[in-house]
Amino acid sequence: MCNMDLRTVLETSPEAHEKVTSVSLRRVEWSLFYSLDGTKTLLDFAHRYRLKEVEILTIGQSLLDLGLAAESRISIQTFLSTQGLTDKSDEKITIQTYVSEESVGIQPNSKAKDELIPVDLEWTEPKQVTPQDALVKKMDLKAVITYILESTKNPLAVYTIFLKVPPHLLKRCGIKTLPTSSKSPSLFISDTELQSAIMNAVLEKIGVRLPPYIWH
Amino acid sequence: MNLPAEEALQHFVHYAENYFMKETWSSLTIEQPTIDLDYNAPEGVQGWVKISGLVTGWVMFTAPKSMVAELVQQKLGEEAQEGDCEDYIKEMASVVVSNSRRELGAALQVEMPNENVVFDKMCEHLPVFVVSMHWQEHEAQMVISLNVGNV
Repeated sequence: MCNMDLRTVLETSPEAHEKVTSVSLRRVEWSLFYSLDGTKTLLDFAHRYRLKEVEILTIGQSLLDLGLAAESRISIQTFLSTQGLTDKSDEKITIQTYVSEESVGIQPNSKAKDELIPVDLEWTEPKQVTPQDALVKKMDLKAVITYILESTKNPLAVYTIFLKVPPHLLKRCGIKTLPTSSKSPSLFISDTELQSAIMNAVLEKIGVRLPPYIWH
Repeated sequence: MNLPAEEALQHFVHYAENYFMKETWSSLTIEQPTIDLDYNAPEGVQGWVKISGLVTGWVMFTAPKSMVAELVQQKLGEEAQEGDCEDYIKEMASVVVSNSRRELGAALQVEMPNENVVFDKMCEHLPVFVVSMHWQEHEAQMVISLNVGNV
């Protein structure tokens, strides 16, 4: 049981990827769920989404109750750094780091880097997975197929989507057959070219981006 | 959400089940389909048709000769003769796909293929959609290969 308050930091729970397919949430709840990164407090999200304190606490509690979120345990240093509260004035950095921070208009000791940007909730989409995410993460092919099935309600869509993926990319990862059901063993892909091809095929065919939980 | 290619595939599977039900008065058990990137047809007899219009590609049925011989015997009431099994499975492919036109309309064109073309070679390097169907102790397959350009 989590004694939640506005300083509580949530992250997606380990079992979230299994549960997301069986729950229905309001847009704002999905937005918050997809934004959980284990560093921001509920107060941060209240500011970001322009929610009242009681509203963000209610949403946080419902994500906890549904098993989609868990309380994140982070060190005080991590917490302070994510809040922009650490004193970096004595930190030694290279000229490249200094210039790169300057070039985007961020002072080395500024809080602006992590500034929360207010957004219009109605038009907030879940956090999108970019090809950059794919560079460092493994794609769970079973989760991708499950997601396609959930989105289209049609197993045949798995075929037409994978028709868009160059077969040589699948073959070079040792994939000779693909299931069209979610009852298949997990298969993790680290080939970034294949990851991008799958992401693009899903986007092109059914117009949705793959959710974060397909990454490990 | 049903896109033309998925809808066509759905009808092919549906009419394959129907065909068996009408011909044999017994149902098929259909396994969860798979996508095969390196398809090799099992030994047996094959019948396939070319489709175009709404979607383009090929639909192929393959079954062990012993299974088709049983189907022929059920239909004709006598033992299959030379060429009967091949004719039967070609007809099956043609009937299943043609029946799908009831839903898909004239936009789906069905053509009998050139006898000299080998199915395996045609879909080489292309992912195919494989539906395994069990009838009595036999296993047949319906294999669908769609062209990537129009899905």
